Amino acid sequence: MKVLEVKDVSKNFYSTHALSGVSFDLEKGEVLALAGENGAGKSTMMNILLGSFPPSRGSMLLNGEPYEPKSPSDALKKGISMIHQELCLVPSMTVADNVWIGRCGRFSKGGIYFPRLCEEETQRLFDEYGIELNPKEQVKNLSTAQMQMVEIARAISYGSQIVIMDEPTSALSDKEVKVLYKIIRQLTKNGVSVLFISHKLEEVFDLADRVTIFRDGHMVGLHKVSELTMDDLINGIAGRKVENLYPKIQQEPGEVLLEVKNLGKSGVYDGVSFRVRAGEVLGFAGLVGAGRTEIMQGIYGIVPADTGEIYIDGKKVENRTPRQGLSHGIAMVTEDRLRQGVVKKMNLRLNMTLAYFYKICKFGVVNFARERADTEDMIRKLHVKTAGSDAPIWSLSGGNQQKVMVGRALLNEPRILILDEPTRGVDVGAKSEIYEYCNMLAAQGMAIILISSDLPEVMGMSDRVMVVRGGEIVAEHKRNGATAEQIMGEMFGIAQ
Amino acid sequence: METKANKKKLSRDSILIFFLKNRALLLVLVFSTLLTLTTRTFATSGNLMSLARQIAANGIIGVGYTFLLASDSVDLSAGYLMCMTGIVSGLLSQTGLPFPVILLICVVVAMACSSVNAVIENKFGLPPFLVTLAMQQIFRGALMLLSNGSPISNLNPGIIFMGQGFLGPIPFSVLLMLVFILIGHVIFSRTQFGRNVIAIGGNPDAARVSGIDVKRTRIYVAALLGFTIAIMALVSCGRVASAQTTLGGDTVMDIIAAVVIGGTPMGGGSGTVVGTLFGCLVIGLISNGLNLLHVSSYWQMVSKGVIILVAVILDVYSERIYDRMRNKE
Repeated sequence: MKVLEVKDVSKNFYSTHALSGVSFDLEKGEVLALAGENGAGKSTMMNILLGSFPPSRGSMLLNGEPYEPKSPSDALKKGISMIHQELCLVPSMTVADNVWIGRCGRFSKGGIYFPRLCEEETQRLFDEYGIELNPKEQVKNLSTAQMQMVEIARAISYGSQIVIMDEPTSALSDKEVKVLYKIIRQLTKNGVSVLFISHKLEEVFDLADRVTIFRDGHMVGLHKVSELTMDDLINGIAGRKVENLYPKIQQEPGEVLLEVKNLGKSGVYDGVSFRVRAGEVLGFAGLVGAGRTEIMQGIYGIVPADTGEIYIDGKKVENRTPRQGLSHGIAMVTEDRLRQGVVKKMNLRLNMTLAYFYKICKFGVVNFARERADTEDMIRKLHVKTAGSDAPIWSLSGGNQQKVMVGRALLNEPRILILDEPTRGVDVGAKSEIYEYCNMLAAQGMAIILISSDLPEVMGMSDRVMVVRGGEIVAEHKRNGATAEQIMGEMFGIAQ
Repeated sequence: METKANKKKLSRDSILIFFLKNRALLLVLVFSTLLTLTTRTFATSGNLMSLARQIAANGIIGVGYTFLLASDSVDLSAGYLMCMTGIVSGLLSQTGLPFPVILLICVVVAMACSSVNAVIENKFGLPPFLVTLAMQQIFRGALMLLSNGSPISNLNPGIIFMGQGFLGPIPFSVLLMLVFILIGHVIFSRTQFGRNVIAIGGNPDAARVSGIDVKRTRIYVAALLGFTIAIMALVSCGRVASAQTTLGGDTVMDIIAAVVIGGTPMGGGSGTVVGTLFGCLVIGLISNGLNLLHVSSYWQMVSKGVIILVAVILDVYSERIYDRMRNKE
């Protein structure tokens, strides 16, 4: 039975065609994946389904009836809910309150709200879908991954016919991803249909029944997943042949640039020692919360370490603030793009030069011509897709914002570059561009430290891989020195 | 044909956007036109000159306050600190110290007191609202202790000159304000310091990770505000030839209103010093115009409040209008 039919839907913004002539349908209890690069039109399609704005042309049918949502809350009433990519939770409220936010009337008697009823209902929901969270916990005490689970729980708590998931796993560790898989299977068993957007193509193959491919606002294919290979999918999304997703250039590493000895911070990480050479890409694999980000923050100076020593070029240095890290030739692209990365009210240029403009100041006055030239140079080098260097940062897609963050780090001409989850929420095309650029930088003698929760990525990119678990380095592998299963086992602490 | 129509529409949009971005300028134009039409005395050089002198003091502190709001902070104590600095200048005048020394001491006192706000905020991680709310009472008490509760006259001639003097045909205070606006504008939009201020207002975490010393920048902003407070104190004391004890309360309200109407949002991340000048003009025009129209001062308060509300609503709406333009076909 068809739950949703989308017929020839188009959307124009001014003169750009964000979406043209898209048609697909969704069966009851089916998982349909939407694949495509950032800016291919997936988000526009979702926004139309949710009623954020109407289509310019075309129509939609929900259960055979015309469907014209006026707003996201209207869509919700008609049975379509969405898990948002960005977290929208109230940190000071409990898990249960957040799940049922705006609906506490259900747990009220005579106008008086009973938190206990709400918590019990939440526990029932968590039990049914295998979510391991305490409904009474305050959301501000949760990790990012756990918050994402709350968000997921909220979306399914509406009992909708269709649940839209936009990059639901981007903030999840492998453990929670498994729970999400279970949730999706349970949902479809209950007859709920799922629209699933993900840049992790493995997930498309694991979860989806069918996949639609978007490219430049057009729908270029609708396939059964069982009749598709990974290469077909990648080539369909990119519109060109992506020969090798991880274009590694092998080369001899040079001198040791950075050495860390016994770095520790009580309760977070301990006894961390490693070296990185010029021209080397050193990967850090591990689960979310294993302490990888915190170690790098200690080295760069965001949250200084308590104990241990950092040597650059054999000389001992102190990095107590990011400024000190920068002055010692370290630059870091932080993991949390929204919180520690972009400044929303600034334009692309100001964002790009944020960590660097003080270097091109004369008597405190910014050299605008130089700033503009350097920004535009970086835009070209990194292939940032934008209307120009003065475009507002929010007008860029996630992948292109990430390139701006990389540009911000590179403008400082660092010798050691730390990339913390540089490709999270970034499409295949932008991913391979970032990889290629990394390799070029390494070839020019930069030392690169790469943190990634995407195991194929960290294995494909790195000369050596360090595995971090519980704040300690538990293993080190040369390139091709271990299988994915072996590393995965070490990440979880399971002996193979 | 289609492109022509498109162009026309775009230019109409761009005019709308220009006025949304420069709301204060729009309000200034509307008010001046209305007053020119309804009164005979508004568009006279005498009245315009007195208007300019009325806003000079606010224009000076407005520069410092623009930086403060742009850095996502606020200072409720500025008014009473201004008063206290005025009293200090009055007391120093009685001792017969030369003017440059008095000026220097006032500047140091105001900068130090204002910086204390930022130091406390930094040290204990407190919101500026609470810290400056408390400091406001401290300054208020201190100024009463210093003055025994009565205004001080017999000010140093230098102070009188700052408030009443002329350089050629132009009042010195107006000239001073224009210099402050100009230098403030250059610092805000062209220098490293200005850039740091917007960055810490827009996203302090990102600024810190990018190597900007957020805490130190906050202290500099407070010190800059203190500097403008000192100059403003001397100008406004000089204008009435005495150091008053009761001006503090309304001042902050007027300044915040002027800066916000001028286009610097509460919450920071962006700002405009030139806009603040127009914001001060709007506030000045309201009092000036309502005086000319013989409206009672109580109604003036009510209407000032209404106009500030309208300006803030316009601020929110202009964001929505941008959004709508973006999403429109």
